[in-house]
Order: sequence, then structure tokens, then C-alpha cells
Amino acid sequence: MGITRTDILIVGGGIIGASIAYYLARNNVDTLLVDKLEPAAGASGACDGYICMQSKRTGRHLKLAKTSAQLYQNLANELGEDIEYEKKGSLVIIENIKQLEESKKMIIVHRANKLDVRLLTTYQACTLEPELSPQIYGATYAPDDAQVNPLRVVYAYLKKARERGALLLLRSEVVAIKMRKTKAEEALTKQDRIKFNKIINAAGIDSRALAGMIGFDLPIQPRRGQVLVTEIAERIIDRLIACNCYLNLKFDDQLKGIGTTIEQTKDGNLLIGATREDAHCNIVTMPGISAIASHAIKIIPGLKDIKIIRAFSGIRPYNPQGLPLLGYADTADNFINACGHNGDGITLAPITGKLICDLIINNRQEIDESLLEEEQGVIV
Amino acid sequence: MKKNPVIICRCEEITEEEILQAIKNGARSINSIKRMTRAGMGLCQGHNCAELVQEILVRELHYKVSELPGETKRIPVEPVKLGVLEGGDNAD
Repeated sequence: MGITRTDILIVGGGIIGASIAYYLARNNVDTLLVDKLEPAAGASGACDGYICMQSKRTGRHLKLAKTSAQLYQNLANELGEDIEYEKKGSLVIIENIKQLEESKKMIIVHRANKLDVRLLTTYQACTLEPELSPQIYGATYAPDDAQVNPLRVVYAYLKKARERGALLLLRSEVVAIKMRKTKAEEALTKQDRIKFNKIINAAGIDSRALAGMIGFDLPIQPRRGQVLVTEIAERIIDRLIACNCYLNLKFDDQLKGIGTTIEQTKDGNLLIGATREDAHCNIVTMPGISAIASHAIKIIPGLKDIKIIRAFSGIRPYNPQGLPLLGYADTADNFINACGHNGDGITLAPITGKLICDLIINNRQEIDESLLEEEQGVIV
Repeated sequence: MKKNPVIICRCEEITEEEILQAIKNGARSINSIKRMTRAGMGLCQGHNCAELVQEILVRELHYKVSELPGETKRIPVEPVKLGVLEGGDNAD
């Protein structure tokens, strides 16, 4: 078994690993990315493309999202690829009085933190999106939320990274990490040995297992999201639609059940999601599909006649802290976590790549918070 | 004389050339080719093209069919209206 040497080893070829590889390679850092299967074979290839800011909690969560959303705006140009990015805005549908009251408070806080979110009446929401049910109580509208095709993003990041010298090692699962004292030295896969100076844990749902190899426990649990794919349809919605139950700014440890999202992709298919289940097996289930269907039809009744051609599921890395884990692990000098993104992986991929790259090339001990957009608001 | 492109996935109009390019870019499975090219994402969900894609993989990579990484089969087996599926409230 030959030994491969690299400066930085990235474990995980999902959107997070791909973003980091891009930023590092762009900065001429010798980078090798390894994945147990192929790029986007995990959650990054089994999700929707909602770049959402209005669902984020004030403070670091929102800052990360805003800065990342900003990076997305020019990403297609930067990567020279069509990533199907569209800043179309999103509507979060309000379905009862309680949600209406919560939404009013949320808007005040968001606007104080310079996020453009507006309260729409039933009439206003249904005028913007005629397919919405007139039974809704209204909606919160964030015109700066956007949509992208995550697969295209992964491939575009990796293409550019490879052009700049990054190497990819696919179908090679890291099974052990050799340490010498407090330094991780070598990653062992079934067929390869990789020596590195620093290793980045971007292994998504497997990041806990990887960190365990250096004796570091990450509080990451599998959270399954089932999603339905419809036939290609004429334009049903112009914007992303979500329901109030999707918002994780009411984040609590038990955030489960259905978080409805409805997205019409560039090709015309609708992605209708999603369950949030404590499950690690990426199967689809009849109860899950059924529940997604019920919730979606309640918001857009016309959907009852659209045909579903596929259901899929992706296991998101649920992290009870609510924020991704970005930075050095305690049990090794050179093991960097970039994981635990919950359901925010797509939204936060660009900023994650930027922050981790900065951490490495500027020899920092911690993520540089000043890279996040300046916020002149208040935290309520 | 220019050869006409060979269409492998009729639903999404994906050519053999595109699939070969995906293999060149590292794809080694039906799932990967699907993600990279959209072959198999159309209305028939690979019913017509999966075997063709498989043949291309076997030919290009000298796999035995039994060695080929499987594709992911999912319900619904054929398109079904969303209204037929509704009824549940929670995922359990």
C-alpha cells in the first residue's frame, strides 16, 4: 500500500468539503479530498436548494447565513458554471393566530438586524403566489432568500479545485487515524495511507465517527429528511415556499415532525419536503411521504393533482447546539471540524469554506469572526 | 459526416457523450452518473435508461455486472398524484 502525502486532507466530498477544497486550492494550498463514495453521495445530493436567511436565529446563526448568502450572489461568476442560482425570495406561510403573533415579533427582530422580511396579509401573499390557499393567515416574505442547485454547486467547486491542483480520492473510506502524541499523522482507508499536516472533518453524518478516531466526541445525530419530487410542471410558484413549522429560529432540541418546503427547480420539477426524523437509514416511508403530502396540499391545494415521480431521503447531521462546529478539536493539534450543519449545509457551504481556509492560511487558533458581515442591530 | 448523438436518457435527452464525460470526471456508478448528468431523473425514473447506463459502465470500466454499485430504487414505482398520498400528519 503506497503512501500519499498532502498538506491538507479533507475528509468528505459533500458541499462542505467541496467548498473548503475550492477555497484552499484557490489559495494554492496542497489539498487532497477523500470520500468514502463519490461527491454529493450523502445529504448534499438528497436535499433541496433553499438558501434561507429568514429562518435563522439572531446572532451568529444569522451572521453566518447572511455572509454566506452574499457569497452565493457572485458564485456562478466566480466558478464559471451555471449553478441555477436565483434570488427569488421566500414566503413562510402563517397558518394560525399563534404563528401570526410569533411572526410579528420575528419581523421586528429581523428588521432590527437589517434583514429584509415583511409581513404579508392573506390577500398580499395570494396575490404574489396565486396558488396559495386562501385559508392561510398570511406570510412572512424575505425577498433576499434564494435558490440553488446543490449538486451543481458541489461539482463546480470540485472542478475549480481540481483545476487549481486539488486531488480527489474517491470510494475510499477512512477507517482509522494514526496519531503521534497530540498530532494526527496519517489516515488509513481500506486501500490507502494518507499522510497530512492538517485534516479537516467535513464528513457530514460520518463526522462523529471520524472525530471518534482521535478521541473527540461530537454531539452529532442523524436526522432524516424525506423529500418528494414531482413531474416537470408549468410555473406553479415563483418563490420558495415554506411553512412556519420549518423555521428553526424557534429552535428546540426536539425540532421534529414536518418542516414544509416547496421549491420549483429550474427544470420545473417541484421538490416538496420534508420530514425531520431521528433515523439514520436513508429509506423513504409511507407515513413520511403521506405527512409531507398533507402539509403541502394544505398550503397549496392545487398540488393534489400533481404527480410525484420520486421520493428520496438524506440524513442531515443534527447538532443540538444549532450552529455548525468550525474549528480545531481539543484532542489533536491539527484536526479541524467543519461539520454539524443541521439543515443549513447548503446555505452555509460558501462561508464555511471561506472561514476554514482563512483559519489555515492565516494560522489562526479560531475562526475569524470579523469575516462575518458587520451587524449593527440588536440581539433581542 | 457528423455522427448524430446517441440519446441514452430519453426523458432528459442525455447523450452517450455526456455519460462518457461523467465517467471521465470520476463517476463510477449509476447514482453518480445520475447526479452529474440527470440521466434517470426524468419521468420514467430510469426505467428505460438504467440498463443502458449500466452497459456503458460495464463497457468503459470493465466491471462485471455483479460488481456494479447498485442504483437506489425508490417508491413510487410509477407516478402518483400527491392527493392520493395525503392523509398522514406526522412522519410516524
